[in-house]
Amino acid sequence: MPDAKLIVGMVLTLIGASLVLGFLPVKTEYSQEDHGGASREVRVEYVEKHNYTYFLSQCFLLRNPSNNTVVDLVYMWLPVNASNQLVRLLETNREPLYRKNSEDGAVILVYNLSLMGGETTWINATLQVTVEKYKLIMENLPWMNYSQVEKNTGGKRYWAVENQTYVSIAQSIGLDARDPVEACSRIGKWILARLNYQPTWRRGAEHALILKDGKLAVSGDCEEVADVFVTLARILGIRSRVAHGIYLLEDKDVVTMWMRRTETGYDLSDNWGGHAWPQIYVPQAGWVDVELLEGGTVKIGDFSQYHIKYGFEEKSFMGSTMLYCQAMYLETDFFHFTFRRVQP
Amino acid sequence: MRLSRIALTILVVVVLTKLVAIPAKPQLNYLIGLNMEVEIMDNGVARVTLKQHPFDAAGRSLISNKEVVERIISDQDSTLSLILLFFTTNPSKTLYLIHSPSKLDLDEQVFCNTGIPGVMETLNGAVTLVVDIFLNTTSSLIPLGGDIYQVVVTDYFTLTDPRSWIDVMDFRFKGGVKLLNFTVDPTWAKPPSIANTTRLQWLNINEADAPDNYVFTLKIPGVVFSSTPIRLKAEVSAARFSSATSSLQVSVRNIGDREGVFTVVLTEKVFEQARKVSVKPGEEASVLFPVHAGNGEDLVVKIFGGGEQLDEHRLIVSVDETVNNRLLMLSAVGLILMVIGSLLILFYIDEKLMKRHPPSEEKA
Repeated sequence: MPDAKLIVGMVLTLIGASLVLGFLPVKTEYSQEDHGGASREVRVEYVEKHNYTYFLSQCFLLRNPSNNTVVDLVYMWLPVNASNQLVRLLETNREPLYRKNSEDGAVILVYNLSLMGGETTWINATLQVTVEKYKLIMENLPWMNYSQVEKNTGGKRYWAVENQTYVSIAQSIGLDARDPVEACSRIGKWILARLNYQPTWRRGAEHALILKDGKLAVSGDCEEVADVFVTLARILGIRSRVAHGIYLLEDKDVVTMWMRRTETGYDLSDNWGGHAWPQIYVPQAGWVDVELLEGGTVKIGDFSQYHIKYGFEEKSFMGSTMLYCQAMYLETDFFHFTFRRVQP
Repeated sequence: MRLSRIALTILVVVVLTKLVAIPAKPQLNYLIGLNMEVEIMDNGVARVTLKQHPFDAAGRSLISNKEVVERIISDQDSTLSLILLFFTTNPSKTLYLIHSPSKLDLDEQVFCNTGIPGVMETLNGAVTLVVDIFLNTTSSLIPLGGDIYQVVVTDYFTLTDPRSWIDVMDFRFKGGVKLLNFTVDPTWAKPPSIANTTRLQWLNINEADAPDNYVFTLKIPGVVFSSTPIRLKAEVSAARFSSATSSLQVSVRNIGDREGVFTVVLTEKVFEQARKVSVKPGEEASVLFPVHAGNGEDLVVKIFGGGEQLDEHRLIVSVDETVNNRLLMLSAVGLILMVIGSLLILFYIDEKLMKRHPPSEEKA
């Protein structure tokens, strides 16, 4: 039978050891000598930046479907100068009447064409487009200030920020996110985990959320993914918008894609790359691209050279229409794009 | 002129923006001539009458085509949204009254270009929609002092689709409303065909001629702006700084009787950060902020709701020294207990050894 002294001694030693081991202050991975806590410095740093230049030739075949001569304005959208993209118009086969900017900054050349009944004609433009492939590290980003949140995170036709289902989803995903990048990363993962990819006409976030087998799913294609992302981000107070453009599905020196009007709709080349993706605004870096459909992961500030930006949608309530080349009375029968990559 | 090849427009958007084509059903394509009359009355109400007349690519009227007319009438909601967007950036906050719903009126006329260069013609019959819009609930009315206001009307058709425009835009100033000045944007847009103190009318033969924005300086004697009562109530129920993660957790409690969206604002020396949170009455929600301020600096937390500040809370950034001291104290206590425990064990062992080998017996 052990002595009481031994038992008490062993108990005290064990309690003492556990107190020492349990509460002795040790430096964690977050420790920082200056503050005695995690890093508080905002870090926005490009760890990769590489320019890719393309000569883009965009050609459109227009036709007068009527029997009468028609004088019509023809609108041709151009890739835009934007963060991480530089565009220079080299030539166009007709003199444009004027250049027009849409509410969200899309650049449109307006031509005045006169075609006799049944007549066809081409309008072409050649551009030099430099796209920046980049990788951005963002840490400790502050959330936007009050006036920016009030001004830039409201709802639009396709972004149902007042929808209670979306509000509760956004809050469960991101209220406890420490910074906006963490919140966006969570939103992206949430969407990818529930994505039911189906090409469709644009229906907006409200109609993209469906119940499938008793569970919420995000149904649609790139536009629905972007709309759902923007909706959730805006609910959490993050300024976000949709970018529209072309995605090069082939990594080749020359990529050609086309679309042809038929009697029942359109024929597309197999590599047709109409695309949309979300962006978030970071005051320290500008507009940062978010890609959820490239490689199956959430890419925030990790942007490939395959995206060509034609326009953005942020302010326009009804959404921005991007049609490449359209007129009122004349029909666009053929859309043809050639991207020639310039060797560095 | 509204590019109202509705079926075609939707189809084009689908195909041009997607990676894969959608099979399309052939549908009748048509365009719509658009005439808009805006009567601005002295109580600040704008009565808008929109007249629509469909026609085909050859310029032939489709007003007798039942399917097309019914489609235009059934599109009343989207047409109404577009009308509201002429006056506001947020239709959901705009007060309006449908004075007369969409209907076919064969006695009306629409004046528009149907494709013949340089010619505008009169088409008999129109689908009409009449709406009263309370300008004091829109973003178009900007008070300039006294009874003077700037009213900005934006051609949302052309803004949404650059190919679309209003063929006839007719403004009338009724009662005590006086036109003091007007401008249009872009500057190359054609001037009005009728311009006097009670009426301005633009005939737009194409999109390039049509103004995107009509800006008026008006004297409107009867506009009343009602102030929005504060309906939301919330408080900062907790604000906890964690030095381990350099973050601040702010809890917001809704102490009012209606659900609301609140904005939590954290002000540091360098940054002001804001987060939106929706909270039901009596409930609480927490948001997290990264803290960039140094030790000893002030943090101010404010809550806003319905455009008003509802609560404020101040705290100072500090490494949680009390916690650290407590940890150190607990460690010291543990060390003392270990020493005492070890001594007791040593005493026990010593006693055991003494009992096995008593010194007196050894001597004996």
